Amino acid sequence: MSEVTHILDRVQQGDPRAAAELLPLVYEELRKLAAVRMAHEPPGQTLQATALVHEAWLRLAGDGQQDWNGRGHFFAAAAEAMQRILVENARRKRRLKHGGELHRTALTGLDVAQNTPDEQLLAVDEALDRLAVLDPVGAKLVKLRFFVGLTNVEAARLLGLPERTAKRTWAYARAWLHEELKRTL
Amino acid sequence: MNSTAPNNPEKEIFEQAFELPAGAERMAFVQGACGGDATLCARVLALLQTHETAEDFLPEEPKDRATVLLPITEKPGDKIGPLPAAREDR
Repeated sequence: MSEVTHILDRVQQGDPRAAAELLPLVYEELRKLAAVRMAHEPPGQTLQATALVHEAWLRLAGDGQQDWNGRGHFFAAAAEAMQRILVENARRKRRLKHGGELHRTALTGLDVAQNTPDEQLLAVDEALDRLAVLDPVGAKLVKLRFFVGLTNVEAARLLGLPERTAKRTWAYARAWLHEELKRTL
Repeated sequence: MNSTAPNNPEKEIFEQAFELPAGAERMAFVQGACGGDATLCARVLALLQTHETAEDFLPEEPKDRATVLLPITEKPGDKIGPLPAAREDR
């Protein structure tokens, strides 16, 4: 049994420490995978977040022995890891800029994290922290959609939400985030 | 998951209204459910309006899954530093 499989078992049994152990493992695996991939690609090449997370899942959890629920915990951790990686990078770039003052951009649309301007990405990150307090499940759905690039249906399935619940939860979280960004950006 | 959901009347009213067809029936429901709380009522109606109109905002399916990637500066074999500390509000 792999280390991650073992941790996922403990997460499902309700061990609160297990969830905390999962994140660093997933985070490091994603960074390692991405670094290896980038080393083999010509400069300027891009990687797909969704494919990367799926690959990390296969490598860490093995041959599909984990059930759906275990998968959900893993992907939620991966979304969190992606969020931290991208947010750290946006912050670093902001620090490097002279003056460092915020350059606010108008909110038009939002698709996936990787093609979102840094200032908007940072605003989404902060807003999602607030949403996680009001609506933890909705925030998880948005993270899987925005940081991993899953469709909202895939994200809901991973979290084990019934279809109607998923639709309602998604609708509220999306509308809430839009209003919040309109207010802060 | 619902058993641990925080108390959030705005979300509860939004989600019930969401099940109704957009229009007079939905508006009447929201006004009734907010019980004279005009701020809450305006807020829920604004969220419903956003839901109906903001099409370019997080569409259900990503338009661009394969975009730019993760900004990775390490090379294979590099030692990777510790995970950035979680913020207190996480």
